[in-house]
Amino acid sequence: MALMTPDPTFYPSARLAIQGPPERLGYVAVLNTNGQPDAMSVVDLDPESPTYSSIVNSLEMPNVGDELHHFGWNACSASLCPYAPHPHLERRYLIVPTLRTSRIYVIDTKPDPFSPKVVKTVEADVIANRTGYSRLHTVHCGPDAIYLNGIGSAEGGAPGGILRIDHNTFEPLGAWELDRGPQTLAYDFWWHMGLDVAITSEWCTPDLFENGPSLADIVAGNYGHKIHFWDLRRRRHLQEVDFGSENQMVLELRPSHNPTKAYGFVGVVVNSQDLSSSVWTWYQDGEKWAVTKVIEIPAEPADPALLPEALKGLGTVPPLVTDLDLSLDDKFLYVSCWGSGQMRQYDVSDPFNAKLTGVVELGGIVNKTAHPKSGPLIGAPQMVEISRDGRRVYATNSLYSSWDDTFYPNITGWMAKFNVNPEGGLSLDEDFFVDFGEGRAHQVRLEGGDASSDTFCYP
Amino acid sequence: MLGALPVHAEPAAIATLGPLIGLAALGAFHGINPAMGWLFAVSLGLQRQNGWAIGSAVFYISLGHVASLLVVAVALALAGFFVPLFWVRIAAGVFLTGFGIYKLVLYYRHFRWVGMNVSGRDLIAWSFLMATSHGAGLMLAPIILNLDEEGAGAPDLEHHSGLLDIADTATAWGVGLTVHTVAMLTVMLAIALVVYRKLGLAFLRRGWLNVDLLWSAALILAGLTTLALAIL
Repeated sequence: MALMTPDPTFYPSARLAIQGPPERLGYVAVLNTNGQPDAMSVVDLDPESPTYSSIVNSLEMPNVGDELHHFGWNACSASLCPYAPHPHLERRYLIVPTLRTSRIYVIDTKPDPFSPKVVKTVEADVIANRTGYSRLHTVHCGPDAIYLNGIGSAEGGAPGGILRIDHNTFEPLGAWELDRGPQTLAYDFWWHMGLDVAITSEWCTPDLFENGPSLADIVAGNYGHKIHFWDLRRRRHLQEVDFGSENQMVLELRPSHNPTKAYGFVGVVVNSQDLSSSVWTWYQDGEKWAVTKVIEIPAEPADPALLPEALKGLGTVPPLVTDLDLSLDDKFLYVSCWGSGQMRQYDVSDPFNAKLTGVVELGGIVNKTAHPKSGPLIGAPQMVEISRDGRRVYATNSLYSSWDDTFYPNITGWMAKFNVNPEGGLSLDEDFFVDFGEGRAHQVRLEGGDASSDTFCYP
Repeated sequence: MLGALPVHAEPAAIATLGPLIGLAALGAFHGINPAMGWLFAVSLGLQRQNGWAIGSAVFYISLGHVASLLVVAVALALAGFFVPLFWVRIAAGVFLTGFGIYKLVLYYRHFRWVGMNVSGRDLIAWSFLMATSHGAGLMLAPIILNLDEEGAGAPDLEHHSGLLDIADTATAWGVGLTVHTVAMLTVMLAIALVVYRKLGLAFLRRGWLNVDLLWSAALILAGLTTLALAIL
């Protein structure tokens, strides 16, 4: 559909997006391991609605065993970028890659956003043939196309990398990299649009994650421990930054939303020496990029009797920082500790001096902290999403099927909400809790865009 | 066949103001289209936190734009050497109309440039590609080819001594393209500065009309006009 004025959910700058209306609904990727297909669930987020805090619809995927994980929009504020403007597209389709089966589902959220439909499936062999990638992970709507990445190569090994799909046909356009330099491992990617720089991170090859985490491989330093900087324009590798092999699994990348700023945050899941998690700031140091550790969260001693099989020998609970999210004003960084069961808020107004401003305990391997609307919780805040205005934070509790089973046997899916004090601090919303039962809830996308869905080309 | 034989009334460069006003109006229209450059200029001003960046960006963008127009003008002039004006108009008219319909139906196809961190040379290249891929130069075809009727069109070697015609044509077209580009540059700079200094980015959310559709309509109109001038 051609619009005469830009899609109202496109904002030139993060500053303007913050003024957008509150979300009324969210889409949640739900994984099923019980022989049922995965689903895209629609959750009512409007406190005025009678069905608030419940699943109002669930769209089953056409296949079984996909492992829905992350997903994104066909179009976003990047459509306003000045060098290739096309603002009259619609934010309408969810681009939903599958992590285990390497498909892409295209889900139409109009005309009724509460009743989405699958309108296209791009099969794994098409993607593998055209791009050479599999195990599809991150989605970002770019100025010229929709960008995705695959953690594995077509054969299920390395290298993983970025691919683009056409804005309109959703057909894969090929591998993105013209010169990948030393990069082989992949996990997340994002960019500094104002600087023409892309950043990619590293988890590991598919054989190392598909069957669950391996303590031996963590100790041996076999998981990824680097991030890579790329020339977004020329599609070339510029520089790798190594965190040291003790820093295992460098995952979520959260660049500043202001395109004139050149820094961002990345989380390290586990340190192989002391099982701590950390968050690092990357920044420009002259011509080069550098990183510095700004947050370290130590592992906590625990009674081995309370620990799952894999951790019994260690006698500690690793915090397992598996996701981060940066508010649109670049002020607050939310850090989920999936092991210890915490949602943390840091004031990162000064990106080199993160100040802890709030902690809410929920779930956790040992604590199983209850929500007022539930009993003791299995799982902990994992994927985080922040509303555009920064007032509400949502979290779901599943990481990845085989890793869930390792750390949280008998996990069931849930979603919680935190309310933010704009001056700093956050609290659990006691009225909001969504129980997904056997379904495992993963990424949340909020109506009209959220703090990890859009790229802004203007400050 | 009436249009096939240009009526060479006077060798003067441009006898009437009509075509110049038309070219200036199209210059303003090109200047209004955010895709032609004012938006890029605004964003570079914001990115570099320097209003002067807008002026230099508009300058480079205009160079790229005029380069694209020159390519079209030279192509039309060359065509005029070998083919009667009637057929040049028919071909240009059919192509323009077809291109306009293509852009109308596939309006969402868009430019694939990626890159904010641009030098002056990059901006010239960007603007050249942007203007060329949007058919900005061709949109001027009905007026440029009509300068012929005013006495200084594409040289027709069969009927006239070439050199004088070439000089006349070059002068007339040069004046025309200059008027067009100055009009575009002025409008582009004015919009960029008003958005940068007064309106702010929020203007983009409300005020950014779908110029792509208008543009397609303009291409079709230009095509039909060219055809009409050939046939009538």
